[in-house]
Amino acid sequence: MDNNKKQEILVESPEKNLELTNLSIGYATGRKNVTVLSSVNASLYKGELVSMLGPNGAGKSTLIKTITGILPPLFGDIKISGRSLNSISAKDLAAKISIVLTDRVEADMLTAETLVSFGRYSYVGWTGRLNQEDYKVIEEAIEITGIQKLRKNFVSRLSDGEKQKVMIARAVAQQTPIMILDEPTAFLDLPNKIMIMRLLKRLARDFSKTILISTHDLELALQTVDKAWLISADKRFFEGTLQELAVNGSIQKAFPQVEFDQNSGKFIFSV
Amino acid sequence: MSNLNYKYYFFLSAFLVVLLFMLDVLIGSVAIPWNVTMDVFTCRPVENVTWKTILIDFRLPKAITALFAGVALSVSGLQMQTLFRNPLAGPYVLGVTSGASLGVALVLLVSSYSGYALLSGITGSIGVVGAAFAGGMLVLLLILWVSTKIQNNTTILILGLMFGQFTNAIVGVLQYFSNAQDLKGFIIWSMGSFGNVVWDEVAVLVPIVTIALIIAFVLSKQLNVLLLGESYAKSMGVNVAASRLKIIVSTGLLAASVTAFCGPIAFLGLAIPHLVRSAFNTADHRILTPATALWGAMFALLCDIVAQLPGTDETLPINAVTSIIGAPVVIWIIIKNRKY
Repeated sequence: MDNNKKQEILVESPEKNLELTNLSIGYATGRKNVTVLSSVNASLYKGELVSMLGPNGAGKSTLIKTITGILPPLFGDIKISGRSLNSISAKDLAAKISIVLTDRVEADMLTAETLVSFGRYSYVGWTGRLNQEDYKVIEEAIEITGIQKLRKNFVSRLSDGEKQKVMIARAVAQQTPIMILDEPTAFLDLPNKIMIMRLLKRLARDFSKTILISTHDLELALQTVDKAWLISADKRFFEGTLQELAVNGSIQKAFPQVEFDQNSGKFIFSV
Repeated sequence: MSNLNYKYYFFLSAFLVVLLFMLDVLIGSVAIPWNVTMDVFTCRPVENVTWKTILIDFRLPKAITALFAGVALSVSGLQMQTLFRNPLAGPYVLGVTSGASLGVALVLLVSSYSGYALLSGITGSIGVVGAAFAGGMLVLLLILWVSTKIQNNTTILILGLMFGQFTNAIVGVLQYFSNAQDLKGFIIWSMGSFGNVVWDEVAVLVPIVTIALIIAFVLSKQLNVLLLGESYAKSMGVNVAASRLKIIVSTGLLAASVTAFCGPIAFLGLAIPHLVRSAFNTADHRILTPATALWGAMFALLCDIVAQLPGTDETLPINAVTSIIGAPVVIWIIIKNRKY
């Protein structure tokens, strides 16, 4: 018992919020397991904005579903704040990871404010009654994401960019150390894409959140994120800072249209 | 809308329910003076025994049935619309009512051949309710099973309509093989009525609806989060499978029990939740569920009063009235949700 406890403490690093060890992901079709990606080793630290890059069908969504507990891993281990994912109850996990998905929310007569308040679900009792603390957290989430003017609007009437901000506010209200967003900038125009990326960057830097996003917007991601997870077309997984990935040629391998200019330290897109 | 406004709305709705309930007891094909009605309900001696019987044994159970049926169908519709995330979901559209009809038709066939009159009396009640409930739940479970395979809600809705058509076809076949007497009973049942329910049956309907309604109220918090879809709900700590099962049991109990006693009642379950959402301007089930219950009671009582055709001694089938009110609401929903 004591030994186990010591081990827990040793494994647990205060900075490391997520750790994937020798992880294989995929899904079951009938009796067969289809492996999408194997030997994934990666970590996410406090205050990091990390982008998951890779071509369509590389397994980005499957990896997100596995980390958030929607799909079980085929092999290997996922640790959230030092605890194994399968030992964490649904309620505790809700206090660790919040998500923003590409699913469209089209509920009738649902105001932005009410939607954000749903983020408090796992903190309130069965009646769903919010207390002072909950209202304070909701207020902060609305302020941080800058949706004060939208709060009374119906979600179904918001633009795509506004909707995305409201969904992020809901995730903020859930008060989790880790936020995972699936394609947060898809379907948005360029100013909105930039606005969302800046918001995420600020959440990671100023509020010490660990943020993982999957994205197709390579150019934007390369300009914003600290670190990247890269899945190549031949299903290989790389993790590193952009510098590291550029220097060892992984980015160029996954995205042939990108060149890294050693002199300026910038990425160049060949058209 | 502020909390004060909600309180005002709730108070007004509850007041209207009480008012319409009293009107529903007062109005009928036999004109009974209101002072006699007052005498009957304050337990004072009444000379005309027929009037007393009409009031106590016909109008009162009918008004109670209308009230509970309205509550049950509307809350059932609200839960289905949230669970399937589809504005057009409801007990009627998803084929739950048809499934219940199938169950009742099967009981009818068995009673035709076995010689037992299953469609009358308290034993009949339990048989009919059981059959209607089983039929309704069967269709609901089928829809639920399909919904785990197919994510597209429109497809599920069309499948629900197809299940409905399919069960209707089987009902047609069963009708063909049953005798004229039982067939007439079934057809009258299928036209819908709050008036065929006697006290013994009210004593079965009211507890079932009450229990299912309590489950629905307790589920308000889960229903809220399910508005965002199952993945989000799961990420916020909802046990989605358990919640879905509870919602299905509650909505199935509500829809199937009412259908068993009153026959298929169209449109209430579909239309009332939309009216309530628009009137209360909210998607929060902690307000929607009780408000839908009140408005469901209000509209069912109103439809029952209209069906009496006050001033005449004719009555309309309740389905005709609910459809005349409900169909325009559905058209309004479709136009409102149109994407440009």
